[in-house]
Amino acid sequence: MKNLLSSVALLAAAALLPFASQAQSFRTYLASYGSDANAGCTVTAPCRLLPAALNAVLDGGEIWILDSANYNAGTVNITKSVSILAVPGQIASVVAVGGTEAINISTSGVKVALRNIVIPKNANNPGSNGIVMTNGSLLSIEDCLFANLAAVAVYVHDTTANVQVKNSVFRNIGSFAIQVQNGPTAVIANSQFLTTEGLVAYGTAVSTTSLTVSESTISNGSEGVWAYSTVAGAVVRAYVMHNTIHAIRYSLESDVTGGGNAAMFAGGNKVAGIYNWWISGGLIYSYGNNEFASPNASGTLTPVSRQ
Amino acid sequence: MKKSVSSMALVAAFLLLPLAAQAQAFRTYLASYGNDANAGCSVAAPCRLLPAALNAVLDGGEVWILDSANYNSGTVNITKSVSILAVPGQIASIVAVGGTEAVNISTPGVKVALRNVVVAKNANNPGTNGIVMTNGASLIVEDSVFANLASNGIYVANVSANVHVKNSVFRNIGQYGLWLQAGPNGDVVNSQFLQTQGILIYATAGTTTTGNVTDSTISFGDKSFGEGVYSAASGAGAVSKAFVTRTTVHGTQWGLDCESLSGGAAFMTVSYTTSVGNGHGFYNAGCTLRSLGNNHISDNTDTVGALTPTALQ
Repeated sequence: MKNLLSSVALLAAAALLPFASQAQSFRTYLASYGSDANAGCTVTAPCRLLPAALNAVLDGGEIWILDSANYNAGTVNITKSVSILAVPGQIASVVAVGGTEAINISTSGVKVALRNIVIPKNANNPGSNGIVMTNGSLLSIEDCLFANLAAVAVYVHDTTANVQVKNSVFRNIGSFAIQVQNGPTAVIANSQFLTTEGLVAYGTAVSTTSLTVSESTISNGSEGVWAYSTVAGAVVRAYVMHNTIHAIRYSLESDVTGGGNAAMFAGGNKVAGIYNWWISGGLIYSYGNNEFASPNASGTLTPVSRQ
Repeated sequence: MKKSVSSMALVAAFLLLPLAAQAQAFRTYLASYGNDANAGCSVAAPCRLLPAALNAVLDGGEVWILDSANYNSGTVNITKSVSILAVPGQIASIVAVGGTEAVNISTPGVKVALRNVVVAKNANNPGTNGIVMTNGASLIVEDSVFANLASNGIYVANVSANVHVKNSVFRNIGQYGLWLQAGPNGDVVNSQFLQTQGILIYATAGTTTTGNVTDSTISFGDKSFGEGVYSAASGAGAVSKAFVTRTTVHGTQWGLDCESLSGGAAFMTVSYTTSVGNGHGFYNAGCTLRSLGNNHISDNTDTVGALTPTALQ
């Protein structure tokens, strides 16, 4: 029962945390009819835009968005731990506008969750990426939609953050739908990727990066899932299980340059791309239960047993 | 005329019910604009917090929450069978506050369901567990979120209750998403565990605890700490049984952990499951760890002990 003991130690550590500022509340609210002049952003007097609600919420608290509208005017900088959700039956938009990303997370240790949010490009004054995270501990994306972004939809790099994406849709993204680079651990499940550059686990510095993708559909684009390491000590792993990958140029790709270390493990996938797989210096392990429909591939799969 | 006689008997019996029961309604209502002074917590005059609605509802009835807000100020003690739901298009919060759990269930025989709720830690004055159940017949949690709790998301111990969790998210939980101990029979379907140890199926001496995990993902995010699915039987006559199917376990220290301790007998059966990037892909300490031969177990630091091959039929 070793881990029970360590959990108790964690709990004891948590109890010693200092008191945070008392003027902020555990939960703040936004609405289309809100005003940022409302002190505290309460449920009866909500604020209008995310920066006001973020300012008023306690570290570790929640922001609830009460009705459907857009909730930012420029990049939203999230500098504390917070869960942001639009209540079910409504949906909240956070646009990428003015050449920058919709959301930026670059504060050490923060844990951020987004639920039931749409992140599109403002077509009038387009932004670049959807979410950029360069520091922090956790990013959970649940039941969200990323559409028409010019650059990367979710770009997490040079941080050891844990990233989760579940039940989300990425469509018409100019670059990668998900790019994890130099440190993150990401788990993607039950999501759809349509007309994007796919998902990439990328190592360009000494670090370990891993990406698990399961029960998802990736269709129409140049990459499906790509593991790519460019320098010695950059360990990159991609685990690709039970997905459908269709109409992609490089369905499964694993590349190494400059002495890097990249490997992919693939099992239970249905792949109907132009190239089933493309291996240039990396490794792709196959559990022997993938269905490949194309006659084309480059490189050799490495068999690995199911257990 | 047998039928009408028995109907009359039923009516007569109904009229003899004590007054207290007459005052309660099958369904009571809560809203952010409600007031606990509203007798009966009706849809036209809802109450504000869960204790008032629970007091006003009939055993076996329902509490409907009409709009999005927080609905407790301390531990909510559920002492009767009840189904609590936030209506679709809204969501209800129940916070763990003041060093205790958000919800407590410790009454024999009760059947409790929660649907479309968020159970979170009050960051200002933190509580411990999300739901603690130490007595009762069943606990069903649907479409809910457990976030940032200091202890467990759901802790069920010393009771043979059935526990069912579907389509729910557990994130940043200090201990386990779901802790089942000494008696429960649990099911987890279509759920996500992030920066959270997944499911503990723990049997103490003379007890049997069972857990099924299906179509879920568990990622602690650190291959040097934390459990994915842990079947632990400790003590004479302890039996723990875990079934893990179509589930992904990634970034834990013990991905699939099964341990017979101090004379207990632990079991785990694994099929169509992915265990990758963990410290131990599986960890078998005296356990019967059955595999259907169709699992993706790779790229872990190691695996400990053996799998028992079991044929698909």
